Amino acid sequence: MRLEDITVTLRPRQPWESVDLGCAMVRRDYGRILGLWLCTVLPLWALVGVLLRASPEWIPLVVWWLKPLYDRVPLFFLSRAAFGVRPTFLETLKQWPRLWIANFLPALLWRRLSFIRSFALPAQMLEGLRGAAVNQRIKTLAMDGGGSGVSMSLAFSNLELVAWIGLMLGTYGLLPDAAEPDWQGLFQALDFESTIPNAFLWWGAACHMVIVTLIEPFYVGAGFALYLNCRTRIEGWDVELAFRRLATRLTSAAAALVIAVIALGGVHAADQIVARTDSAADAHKVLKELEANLQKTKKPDIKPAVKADPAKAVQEVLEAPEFKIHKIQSKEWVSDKKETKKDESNLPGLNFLGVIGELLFWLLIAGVVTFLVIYIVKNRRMFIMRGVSKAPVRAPKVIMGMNITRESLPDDIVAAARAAWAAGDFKEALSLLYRGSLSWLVNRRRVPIADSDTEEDCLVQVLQAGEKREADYFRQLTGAWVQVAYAVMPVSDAEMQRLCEQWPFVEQGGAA
Amino acid sequence: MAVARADTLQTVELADGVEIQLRVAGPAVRSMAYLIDLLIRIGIDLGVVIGAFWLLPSLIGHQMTGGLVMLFAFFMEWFYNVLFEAGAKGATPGQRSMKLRVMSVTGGPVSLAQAVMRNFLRVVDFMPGLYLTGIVCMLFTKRFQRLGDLVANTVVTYAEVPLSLSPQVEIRAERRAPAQVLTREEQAALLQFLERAPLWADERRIELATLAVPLTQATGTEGLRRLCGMALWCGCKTQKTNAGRRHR
Repeated sequence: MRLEDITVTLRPRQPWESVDLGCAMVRRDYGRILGLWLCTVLPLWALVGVLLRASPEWIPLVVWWLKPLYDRVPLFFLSRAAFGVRPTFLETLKQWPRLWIANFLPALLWRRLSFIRSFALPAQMLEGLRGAAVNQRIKTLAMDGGGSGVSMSLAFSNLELVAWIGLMLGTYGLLPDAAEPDWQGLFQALDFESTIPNAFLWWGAACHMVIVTLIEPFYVGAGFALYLNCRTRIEGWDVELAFRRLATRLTSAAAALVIAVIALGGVHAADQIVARTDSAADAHKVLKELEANLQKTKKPDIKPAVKADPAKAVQEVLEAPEFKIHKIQSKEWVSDKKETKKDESNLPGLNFLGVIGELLFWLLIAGVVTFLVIYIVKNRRMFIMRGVSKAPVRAPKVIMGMNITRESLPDDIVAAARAAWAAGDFKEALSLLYRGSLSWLVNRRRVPIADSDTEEDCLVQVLQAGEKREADYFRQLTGAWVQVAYAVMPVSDAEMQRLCEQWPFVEQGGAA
Repeated sequence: MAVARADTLQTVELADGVEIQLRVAGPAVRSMAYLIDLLIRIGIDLGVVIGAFWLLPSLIGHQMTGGLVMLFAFFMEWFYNVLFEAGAKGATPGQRSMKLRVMSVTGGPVSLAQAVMRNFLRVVDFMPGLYLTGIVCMLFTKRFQRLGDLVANTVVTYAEVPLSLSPQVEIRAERRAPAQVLTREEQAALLQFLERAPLWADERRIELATLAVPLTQATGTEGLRRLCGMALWCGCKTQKTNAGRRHR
C-alpha cells in the first residue's frame, strides 16, 4: 500500500460526510462491483433457492443472514481501487475463495448482529490481524467511529427495507392473478399457508435480492470510507500524504539545484579553459562538453514517454477533462410531411369537410361585413358631423307656456296672423308671429333658449346669437307682443303691417 | 489515465468563472432527516386529529370536522417541506437536526419556486413506491440529487463548516522560517500537523516529522521541534495576513 497512490481525497471529515465519500467511491466503480457481485453472490443465491425450494418464505431471511459473505469481494476491490491498484476481474475472482473462507464462522454467527459490521470489516480483512488482536483493534477504532457506524447501519437498513417494499408495491400490478395473495382471507383467518401462494413468496424473495444487490455495495463502501476517515483522523494520513509530497518535491528540487550548479560550474570552468588555451580545437572540445552537460541537465525535464511519442502525449493531455469540448445540441421539430399525406390519402372522403369549413368562414366574414355596412348606413347621422352646432342643444318645445313646435303652427304664419288681425283678434295675431319667430330661432338657428326664459331673456339670447336683421325684427316683435299681451294696449295697423311685411323667418328663396 | 479522486466536495463553476465547492449530502443522512420529518409530521397530524375531534364536533359537527382535518393533512403533506425550505434556514426541522440544508446549485438559498418544484416532484420520486426512484437516483448522481433536485437545480448540503479542533497545548518550539518556499497546500499540512499532533502518539509524531526531513534537515525530536517551529511561523503569518485583510 502506497499512500501516494490513493485515489480518494483524504481529509478529516464528519462521519456522515465520509459515508457519502463511500457512496461516491462505489458509484465510481459500480459496474465492476456489480459484475463481481453477480459472479460471486448469484451462485450462492441459486444454491439457497434450490435448498429452500420447499419453503420460499425463508429465503429472504437466509439471504439477509449471509450478507457478511457478500461484502468481502466488493470490499477487496474497493480497498485496492482506493490505493490506485485496480485489480482485474480475474485477479479478484482468484481471491474469492480465500476471502469467503477467512473468518466466516464468527462473521456468520456471533458477529452477524453487530451494528458496526461494515465499519469493522476493513479492520478484520485488511489489517491482517488475528484472534484477540482483531477485537482489540475494532474496539479502538469504534471509540472514534463506532457511533456513526451504528447510525449508518440503521440508515442503510432503512433504505433497504423501504426500497424492497417500494419495489414490491411497484411491481405488484404485474403479477398474475394466481400469484396474488388473498388479502381478505389472510386478515380474517390469519392463515398464511393457504392464502399466500408460493409464487408471491418467490417474487418477494427475488425483489429482496435485487434490492440487496443495489444497496449492499454502497453499505460496504460507506463502512470502508468510515474506516478510512477514522484512520485519517487518528493517524493523520492526510498530513502524512502532504509531507511525503513535500519531501518528494524538495528532494527533486534539490537534485535539480545540484545539477544546475554543476552545469554552471562547467560553464565557469569552460570560460577559464577558453581563457587559458587560445587554440580553437580546445575551445571546440570544451563547448562540446558544455553541450553534453546542458543536455544532462535538460533531460529530466522531458519524460522519456513524451520524447518517444509526442503526439501520443499531446493526445493524452487533451483527453483530460479540462480539454473536453462541450457542445450544445438543440433539436428542432420538423413536421413529417409524408405522414400527413398518408393521412389524407387514408381519409379521402373527409376533404369536403375542409371545403365546407372554408365556405362557412367566408360566409361568416361576409355576414359581419354586411351587418357593419347596414349599421353604419342606418346610423349615419351619428357619423356625419353637422357644422351648425357641435354641442347638442335640446330645443325646448314650450316657452313661457307657449307651444312653439313647428307642427303646432300653421304653415303660413304671416297669412294666419293677418287673418287673425283682420278678424280683430290682435293678441292671437301677434302670438302667432311671436311663436313662429321663436320656433324658427330655436329650431333653425339653435339659439340657446330654455323653457324657463322670459321674453327679456329670449331677446338677450337672440341679440347675442342671432343675425342682425332677425335680431332687430325680433326686438320690435317682442316690444309689440309685450305691449299687446301684458299691457293690453293695441298696436297700430301700420305697425302690424310692417311686422308682417318684414317677416324674416322664411327659407331662403322659398315663399313665406 | 489516472482516475479522478473520489471526493464529497463537488465543484461548481458559476457563470462568472468563480468556482465554489458544495459539501453535498448523500442518501444515508438524507433518509435519516426524512425519517425525522416523517415522525414530526405524523405526530402533528395525530395531535390535530385528536384535538379536533375532541373539541370541534359539538360546534360544527362530525362531517365538518373530518373535512377540516383532511384539509389540514393535505397542507401538511404538500407544504411542510416547501415552507421550511423556502424559509430563512433553508431546512426542515429534520434536516436541521441532521445539520443539513437545501441550496441552489449556485450556492444560494432556494427560491420559493425551487422549493415548490423540488417538493411537488416528490410524487415522481416516490414512484413506484416508497421513494424507490428517489433512492436510486440519489445513489447514482454525482451530487446526490433526486429527480426533484435535478429539475429544481437544488442540492442538499451540510449546513455547518466543521470546526477544527485546536487543543490548548503549550508548544515548546521557537518560531522559525522554513528554508524553502512552501506552497499553500504544504503550509496547510504543517498547520494541520500542529493542530492535530497532540491527538497522536509520540512515535507517530516523530514518524511524521521524519517524513519532512528534507525540509527540517534534522531527525528525531529535533526534527519534530523544528517542524513545529515552522508550523508556528506559518500560523502567525496566516493570522497576520488574515488580520491585514480584515483591516482593509
